[in-house]
Amino acid sequence: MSSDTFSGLRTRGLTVRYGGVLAVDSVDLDVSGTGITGLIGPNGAGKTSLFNACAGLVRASEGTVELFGKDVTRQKTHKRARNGFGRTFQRVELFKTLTVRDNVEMGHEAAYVWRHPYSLLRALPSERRETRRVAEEVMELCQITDLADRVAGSLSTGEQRMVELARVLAGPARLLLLDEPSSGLTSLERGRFAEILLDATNALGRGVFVVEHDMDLVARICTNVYVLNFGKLIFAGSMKDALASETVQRSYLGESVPTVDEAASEGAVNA
Amino acid sequence: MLELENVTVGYTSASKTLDGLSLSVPDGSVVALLGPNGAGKTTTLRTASRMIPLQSGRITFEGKDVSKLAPHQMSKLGLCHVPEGRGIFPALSVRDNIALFGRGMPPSEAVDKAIDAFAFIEHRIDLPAGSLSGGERQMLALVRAWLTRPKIVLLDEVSMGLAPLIVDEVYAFIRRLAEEGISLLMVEQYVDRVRRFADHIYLMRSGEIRFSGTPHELGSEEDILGHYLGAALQE
Amino acid sequence: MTDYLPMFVSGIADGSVVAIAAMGLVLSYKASGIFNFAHGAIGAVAAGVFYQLYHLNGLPAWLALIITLVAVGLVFGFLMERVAYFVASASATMKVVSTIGIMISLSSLFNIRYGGITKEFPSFLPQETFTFLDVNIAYEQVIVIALGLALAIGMTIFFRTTLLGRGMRAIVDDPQLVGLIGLNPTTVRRWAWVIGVTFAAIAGVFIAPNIGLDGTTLTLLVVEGFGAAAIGRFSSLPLTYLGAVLIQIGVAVTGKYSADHPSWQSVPSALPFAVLFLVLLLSPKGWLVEVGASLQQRVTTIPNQSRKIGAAKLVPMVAFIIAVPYLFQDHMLAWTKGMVFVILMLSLSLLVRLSNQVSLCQMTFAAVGAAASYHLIDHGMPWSVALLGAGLVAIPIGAFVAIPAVRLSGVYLALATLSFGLFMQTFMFEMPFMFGDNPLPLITSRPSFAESDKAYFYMIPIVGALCYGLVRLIERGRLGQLLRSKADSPIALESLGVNIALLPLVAFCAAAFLAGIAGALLGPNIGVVSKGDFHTIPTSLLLVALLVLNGRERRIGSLGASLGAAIGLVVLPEYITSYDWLQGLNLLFGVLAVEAALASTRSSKTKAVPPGEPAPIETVPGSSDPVAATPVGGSHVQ
Repeated sequence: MSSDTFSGLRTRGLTVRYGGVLAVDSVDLDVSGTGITGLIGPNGAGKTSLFNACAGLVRASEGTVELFGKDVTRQKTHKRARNGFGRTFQRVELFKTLTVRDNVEMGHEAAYVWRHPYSLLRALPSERRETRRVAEEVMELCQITDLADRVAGSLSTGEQRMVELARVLAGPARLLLLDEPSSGLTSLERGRFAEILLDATNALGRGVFVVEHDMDLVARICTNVYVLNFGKLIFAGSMKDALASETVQRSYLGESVPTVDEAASEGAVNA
Repeated sequence: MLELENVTVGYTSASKTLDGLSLSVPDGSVVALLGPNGAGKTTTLRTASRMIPLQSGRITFEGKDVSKLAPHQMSKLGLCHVPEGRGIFPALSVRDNIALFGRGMPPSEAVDKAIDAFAFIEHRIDLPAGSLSGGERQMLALVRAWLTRPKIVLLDEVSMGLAPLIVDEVYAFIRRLAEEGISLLMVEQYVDRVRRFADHIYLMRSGEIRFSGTPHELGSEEDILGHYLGAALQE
Repeated sequence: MTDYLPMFVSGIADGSVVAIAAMGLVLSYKASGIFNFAHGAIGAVAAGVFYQLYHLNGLPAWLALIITLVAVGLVFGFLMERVAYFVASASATMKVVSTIGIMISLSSLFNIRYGGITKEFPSFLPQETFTFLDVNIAYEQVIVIALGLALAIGMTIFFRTTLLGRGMRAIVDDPQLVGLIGLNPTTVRRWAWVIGVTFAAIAGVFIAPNIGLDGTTLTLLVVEGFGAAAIGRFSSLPLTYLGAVLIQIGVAVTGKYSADHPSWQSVPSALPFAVLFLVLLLSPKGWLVEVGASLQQRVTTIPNQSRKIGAAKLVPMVAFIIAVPYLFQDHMLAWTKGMVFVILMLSLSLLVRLSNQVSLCQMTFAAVGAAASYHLIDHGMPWSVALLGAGLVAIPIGAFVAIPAVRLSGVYLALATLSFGLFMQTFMFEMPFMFGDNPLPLITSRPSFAESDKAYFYMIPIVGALCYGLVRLIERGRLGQLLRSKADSPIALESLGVNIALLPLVAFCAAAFLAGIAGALLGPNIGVVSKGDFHTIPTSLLLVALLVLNGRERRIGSLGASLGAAIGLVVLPEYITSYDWLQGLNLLFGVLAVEAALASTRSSKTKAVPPGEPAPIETVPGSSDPVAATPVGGSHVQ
């Protein structure tokens, strides 16, 4: 792999340890800033830890995280966000006492904060106009316009997921990390979520990196997937190949001794 | 031994996590709960050990209605619940953990027995339990099942995140418990392990039992994978 | 040097008593996650009970002691366990308010029974002395030191070797697992409270002969123990013991030194609070872990949508204010003071309600403002410029307090503000640049345009309206939105790219500005101002307790409610001439505050995530749980 600037998220040797537990073991990722990439693996494989290390919520014990060519390994969460990361959470994290519109607008307005001394008190008229316009557009794309004036905390989980997605889409983030977006959704809502996610990210030209355990959803939206087990990458490639891979199947049933070499001998790793 | 009859629980009244679920663990048998993430397996165990209040239904233990009891009362009746990944007190030393687990016996005797079960404990005895590796933590948590001589042990994802060799060791110990006549109700996401081991299997999805029968009746690996990976496999 | 040897002995003796109180505090906090601000008040009550039995009823000292400890220990232990259980899922603010409410109630009850004047407390320990290494040592001191040491060692052994002791250490990690291993978590917590409260009682009874039977002093003395608890990271008993002894040696030694060096005279009393503030200020990230924070409910309060100040509400209020000078001519000054307190309420609600941060030092900002405006006018500034200047001078003080607020939240922030307030009160207020170099109050002047009582009264609501305008501007503007967002989900706001660390700083600065202005308005009302007008205990605490009484959280309270609270706190007492009834009013505030804290956990529109719900989180053991994620070997009672 050459060292030219990569347009997206790149990790090298990323390792996360908690106490005596090795959660993520030397993982190399190259997640493109366009299209939707998946991260799958059985329970306890270290997916969320890997994800949090990318987003800055957990400190990497070793290795580097690079975002659109910029080394962000030592940066705090909010700095990474300013460098193009956006994210949603496994347990929806909305501003529950605010309305849906306020939530989505905050996704956009956050970028203005601290920009000028006056920025904390009031929005400039130009900022206000732009925020309104973007929020309307994104709410339209996410089909939540009719919920705009409801208080976010009063919505169903399915609706809250859409608001969370809209909020991150309203911001300047170029790569969105979605953490188990389907948890808590009915299968009907999952279908709708997949549709909207595909449309909206296409329309706005954003890349997506998603951790998900619902294979139907992953198969539907992801072009490429990484498979993690025991904190190690055991597969990288297309979703179709992943499902066909014996290593991946075995990892879900819990039998194999997975190593990258073994998976490579299947010709699966082609990152 | 343990029976759940028509049990319904939900964290909020709107969404039900378990909906009219019934299952039973006969005396001295090994029962496994399988199913994908979010199916309600852990909730079932937590309901059985009375950590979650019932909305409706009934739980009996050795024929006695225990629906209204608290977890510590269940423990005294002989039910031992080893929760997922959290069966130890990380800030306490290994010795203190063992002393807490072995209620009613002198701490030194409890420690001796624990070392007898897992030799590694001897070298870690004064370290904080939080410094143990994942496998060691799990084994320490399992030691409780050995020390308190329970009638039934509920095991939640004992092999989660563990390397296969460690899983072998953990399962050897679980087998030992079963051979001593202790009933087991275990949640496991790895199918192969339990199907060679369990007397009865329940397959859960979305808070309901989708299959109940012997491992033999469970069908081929592909069928189970279908449950786990969903329709994606067929594409 | 040998002059100081006796100071070491008395320091160790005092330290032992404070250590006993502090260890009890740590114990109950670790087991329940509720920091007991009423700990000292319970000690005072115990001293009162002992006084009753021993001095008034003539029981033998040993019998009186046993009855006191058993009764106080059991009654308050059981009571506190229940309160702690019910507020465990409340917001950090409400947790703090619940025990402050108990503290206020107990202090009032104490004062009703024993009056506000310090009574001589008879010694019940042998008074003889002996000489050792040229130092005169009282047997009393030896007994107290031995008792402190015995309890520290005894508790350490208890924790290491008994099932209940181990259970108390374990319950911090995982209360549910304690249930699963067959210990009743409620029993474990209850005994932790009983022991903790009994320790407070022991400290109260043994310290009282030195300082007399005085509720406020006894309460404050245990607050000195908070510094020791902080040295022990609110978790280690041996370190807490050591901290208490060291601090009290420091107090005794500086006390002796200040006898010859008058400029040092306020150092001894300020030292314990300075230690507490410094430990909180300097503790590295993750060093102090808030116990039980993970049990907090994610409460969703659906706010009411219409927030317009309707003319229907405003007109009667304005009419009432205009009518006050005609209706209450005899108590004009009290009503003016009440109006000033509305501004203080506004300033506090900016922090507590909008920003979700507890401040227990609001009166300190007011004091800074009062002193600043006096000196500015003294230097020839026009009155109105000095008023503005008072607010501006308070801003850096607010920013300074906010430094710990950037990293600390909940109870630790409350402690930081409390210790800052007490430090300022005991040290800075004594400095000549604050309230002058003699104990006489400063003579303040009213502005030339509002010399009369009536004119001055009318001026306050006008300034208040401007302050309210500023608060509303903040609340409705971007800052308000950011603060509400941060209160709802800091992690989400951070992930959107906002540096959330600086938001509390801004909120504190704004609140300090308003409180500074309020402080500047207080003095000219009665013509004099002195440090005694700005006591942290109880005024700052009462402010917080009153603030939570009205309306829902997360919104600046309505003007009417603030006015009502200010009337209750300031105006009503002026009409009450009986000391007992005055205390009764405080008792009412205390009880209402506890009730408000309890009610906050059962408000109808809350959605609770039960503690320890099997969250669909991929857990690496000890990673997601903030308590379990403490550094290995970290924070547990050792």
